[in-house]
Amino acid sequence: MTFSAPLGLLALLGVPAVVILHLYRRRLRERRVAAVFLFAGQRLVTDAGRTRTRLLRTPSFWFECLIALFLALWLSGPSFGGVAARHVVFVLDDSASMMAGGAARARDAVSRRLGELASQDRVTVLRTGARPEVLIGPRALPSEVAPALALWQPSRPRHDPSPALDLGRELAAGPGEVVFLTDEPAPFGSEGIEVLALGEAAPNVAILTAQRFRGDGGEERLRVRLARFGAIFSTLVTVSEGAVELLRQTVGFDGDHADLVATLPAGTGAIRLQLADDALSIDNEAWLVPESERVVRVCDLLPDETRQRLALPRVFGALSGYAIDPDPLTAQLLLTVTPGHPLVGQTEVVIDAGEGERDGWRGPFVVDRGSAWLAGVHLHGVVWLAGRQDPPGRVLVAVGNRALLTEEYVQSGRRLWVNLDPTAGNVMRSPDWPLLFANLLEQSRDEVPGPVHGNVVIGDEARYRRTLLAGSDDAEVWLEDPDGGRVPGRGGRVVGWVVDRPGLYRVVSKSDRELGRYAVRFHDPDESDLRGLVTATASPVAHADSGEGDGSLRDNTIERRLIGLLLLALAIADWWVLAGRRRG
Amino acid sequence: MPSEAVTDFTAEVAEATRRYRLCLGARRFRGRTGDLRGHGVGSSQEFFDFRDYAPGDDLRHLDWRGYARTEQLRVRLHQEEVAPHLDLLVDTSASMAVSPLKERAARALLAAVVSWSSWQGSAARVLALGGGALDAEAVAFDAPASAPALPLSPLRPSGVRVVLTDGLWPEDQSAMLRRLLAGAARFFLLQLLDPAELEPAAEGAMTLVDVETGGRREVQLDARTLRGYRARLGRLCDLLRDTVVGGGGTYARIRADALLAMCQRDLLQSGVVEPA
Repeated sequence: MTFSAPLGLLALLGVPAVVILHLYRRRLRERRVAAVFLFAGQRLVTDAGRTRTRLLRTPSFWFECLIALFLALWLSGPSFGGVAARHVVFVLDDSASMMAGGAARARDAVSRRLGELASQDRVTVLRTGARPEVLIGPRALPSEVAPALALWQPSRPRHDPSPALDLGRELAAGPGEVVFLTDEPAPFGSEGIEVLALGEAAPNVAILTAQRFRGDGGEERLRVRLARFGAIFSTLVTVSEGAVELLRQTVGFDGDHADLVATLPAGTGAIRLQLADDALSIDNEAWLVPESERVVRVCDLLPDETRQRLALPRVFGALSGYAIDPDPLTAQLLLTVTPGHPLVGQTEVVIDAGEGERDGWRGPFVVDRGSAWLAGVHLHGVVWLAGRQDPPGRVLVAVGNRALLTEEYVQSGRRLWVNLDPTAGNVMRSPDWPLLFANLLEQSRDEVPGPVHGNVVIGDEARYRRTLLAGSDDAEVWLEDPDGGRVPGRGGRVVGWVVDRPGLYRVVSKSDRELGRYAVRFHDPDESDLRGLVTATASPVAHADSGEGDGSLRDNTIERRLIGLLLLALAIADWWVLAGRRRG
Repeated sequence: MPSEAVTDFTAEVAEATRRYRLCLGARRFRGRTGDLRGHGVGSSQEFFDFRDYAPGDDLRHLDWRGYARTEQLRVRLHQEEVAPHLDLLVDTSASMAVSPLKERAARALLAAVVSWSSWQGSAARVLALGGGALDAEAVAFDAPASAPALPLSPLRPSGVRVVLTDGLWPEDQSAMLRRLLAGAARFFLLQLLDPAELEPAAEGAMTLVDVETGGRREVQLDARTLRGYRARLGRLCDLLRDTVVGGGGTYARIRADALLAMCQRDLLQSGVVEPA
């Protein structure tokens, strides 16, 4: 009795149930005696008046316990030997090309094979993937397969089926059979496995790329690249926003690819691209949402004089994609002269040369080129007035034995120390100075809460960055799929969900507020190319070990009948004992 | 009326009467003229005493040899011979009929005692403990539950008293037994017990119902319980025996069975009867 035989486990509860019934039973045989007072033995009923009695180990009790035990054994399908039952493991190719008719033929093939199985045979259905999944089973009844198989919709990009085939071999364990249903020739590593290739070559058109670009005037431009795989010369492209059709255009192929560029009206929301029907439908449609403008919130805590000397109004005037935020809690970038307590995802820039004397440095400057903050920063011809006290942290820029720029990770945020006295020198007037702040803005942009990328492809992760501020609405978020099903987000600051179906997804908060949207589309040119699909059968090489493996099931009909007869005999014996008691 | 199954023992009683008789011994009894030595002067062959002759005395009893020696007329007196009174005291409680076997054994013993008494020349009187005279052939074991008591009719002195009971009394009845023993020339206590009462079987849990009080008790009849039962029954029987034997009576514990078997196994062994 194991978890693979839940009915048997459930029936085991009958044993304690019998014990409980006997503990609380009060019906006893009666006997007329001349002197009850001589029987002063242990009383069955407690003096407190409770109904529980001492357990009576009567023949009836043992009979009923044995009946419950054998019933559980009977339901668990015991086997003491005999003819081994078949265990067939079906491995379904879960790649998207199977949707081009291969999946339907695979269902038919599985149904035919199920029809050849006996009732005691067992079936396991796996689907391929980077991490193979057990779709049905393991060791399910043949009758359980059809309902789950009808819901199977292959949609994954190209992947290696070997992990699933290896898992199938392990589950088959010995005399079991493994059948791989695919639409391509037998892959490498499928020795000993029956491969049913059920594909049919067909021409196909797919959306290779689809992107939205924001123009200077606020409008958006749509750029789509189509690819053809086979003899298709044109296709109809439809772009719609909800029920509103924005574009309908026939695109002809001049080669293997065709491009379409269109302008979308300002304020266009999520759009849907649709190609004309062909062999594979999953690559004929794509959704695109406008990429959200990730505005970095900058909190400037510098004194006015320092700000002017640092020429920050000029620097930020030349940059975009930021907003000044007086609240240091919600900002991603903080500018200050004294170190504070940066929060999760915050970058604090401390511009301070410290106390004491200053040294003016003309170089040569040593710049850490690996730091994203210093991308493009050269410091040629710069005169840097710095204090003599080195700031803490990892050195990013140094001159001589003096650290000019260091980074430090404090608590959950980061701090950039700038050992700079702005009263002299020409750092603020050099082209590296706005470049440094541009880099800071770009790095801080990654910490802006919201969807990391609005447009993702199947198999990738739709990620969302949370604020993690106490009481914020995004403390708990869910991903809502196109059918309305919700999956909770798990993780720290960034939560992610691997999406496996095309469509529009929403991120919603605990208060059911929409926090962001994802457009998920299929993208895999290899899967869209259906010209290599074949129909073939590769029979496995006969197993060297055709004996009875440890994991094989057996035909336990005889055992079940024997236990059934034993159950009947026990029931009759129990009835006879009870009837005799009533008579006596 | 008792069923025929528990009264069909006439042949057994006749056979028992032919084979056995009550063991009355050499006590002095009172009763009608019979074969046993009485308390007074009678006409038996056994010499009792001399006394001076008085006119009217039977001349055949003159001690002529003594007259030759002493020239005084003296008369030889002989022992009185009587058939002793027999009072059969029957415990008519319902426990005596707890099983058909026990009831049949009780009725057979009652009939046998009456028959032995009759055969030995005296008419037995059947009395109920705590009640009056009974018809020996129609004794009903249905007395209500109460402590045993002396019969309502006074017992005859210097007679034979036979008590037929199972002795399963919850309280000590030594005082009542000593009163029964007092004045009896011969006293028998026949404690009749059913085989199931002597050796109950370990039959598991059951509800025991007292036939007299209707009291119920749920017990587990296992080895431990039965050990305690046997110890308590042994103490109760020993108390009865000690009281009876200490008062000069005869105690017999009888296992309910066929009459002849009871006579041979229990009554003969304990000295209640002797071969006729």
